[in-house]
Amino acid sequence: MAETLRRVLSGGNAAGTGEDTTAESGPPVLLLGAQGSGKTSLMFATALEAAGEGCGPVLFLTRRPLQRLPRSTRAAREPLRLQKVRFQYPPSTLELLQLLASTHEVPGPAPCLLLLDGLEEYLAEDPGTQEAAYLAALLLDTAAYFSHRLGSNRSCGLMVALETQVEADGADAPQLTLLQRTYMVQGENQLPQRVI
Amino acid sequence: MAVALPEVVEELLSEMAAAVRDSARIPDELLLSLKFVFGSSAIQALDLVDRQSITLISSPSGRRVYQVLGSSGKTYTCLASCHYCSCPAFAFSVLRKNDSLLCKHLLAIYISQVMRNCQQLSVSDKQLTDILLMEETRSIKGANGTSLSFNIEAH
Repeated sequence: MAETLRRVLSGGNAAGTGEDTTAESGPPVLLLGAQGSGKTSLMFATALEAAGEGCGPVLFLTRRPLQRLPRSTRAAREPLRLQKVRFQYPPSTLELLQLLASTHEVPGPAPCLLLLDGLEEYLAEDPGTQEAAYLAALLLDTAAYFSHRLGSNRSCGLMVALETQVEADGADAPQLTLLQRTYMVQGENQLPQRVI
Repeated sequence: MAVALPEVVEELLSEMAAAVRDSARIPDELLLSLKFVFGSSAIQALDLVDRQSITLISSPSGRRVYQVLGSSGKTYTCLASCHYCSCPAFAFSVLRKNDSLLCKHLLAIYISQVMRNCQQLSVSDKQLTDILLMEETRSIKGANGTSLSFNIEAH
């Protein structure tokens, strides 16, 4: 899991690696876990890490504003990093799609990391398979567009968190299968083990 | 961020690209390989390419999207960055049943990229947003119950 995150993050800053810089940031990350398993904390820590030196802004999308900053890490105490994390709160699937579809209209530097927390809240609107697939695809397309804007030796990573039921739930299965097919890398947060 | 096709398909497409660079046409054995891998979709995709049905739409921002005029006369929106097509066959065979890798429209896009013969269309940033939203959001209502409607001005 740590290796995967490092791969997603290193796509934003290829300087100094000495490797072939063909701007492949690695596959997107789909973070699965039950409620309270630490997904939002992990996403937030990842966002702060990516907002470090040499990297552009970070775009953090979630349905509802965070009530409080997640468990503090060293980076959370550096306000400059926090300033580089742009939070947006699309209240519905439609608004989320509109946001993603119109990112190219927004001037300014392209983000080096795109995060979406709480995908299940948007899927709970029961948008249907085609719309759910399009949401997943548009997230990838938006990250690909940011990568294109960042230039030849940088790329934008994508990280999506989805709350899953602790017990296997038949109703969730088709959408989860769909997302797994769209995103190739997954990390599972299982209670009570915490990554941070 | 590139979403990878299986190696066989990547290899086939790069061989086709090399052949086109050398002689401006795809050799028969590569066409046969294409049919072997993709079945009848390959023929339909090649037909779409022949009929110049693929359009690459881009805006000043650099963002791009493909549209393919299907055999039924309907236009489908495709995201090549991540293998997505708005056609029913994609939703059924690729996503739901996991039978196929690509629908014929996506395959046509990859072939036309190799052949370098798709049509190009430039639109404004706002129009590109509308195109990205149009197909998929017809049935979705907003938070306050409204749905989208569009008025794309023709050039």
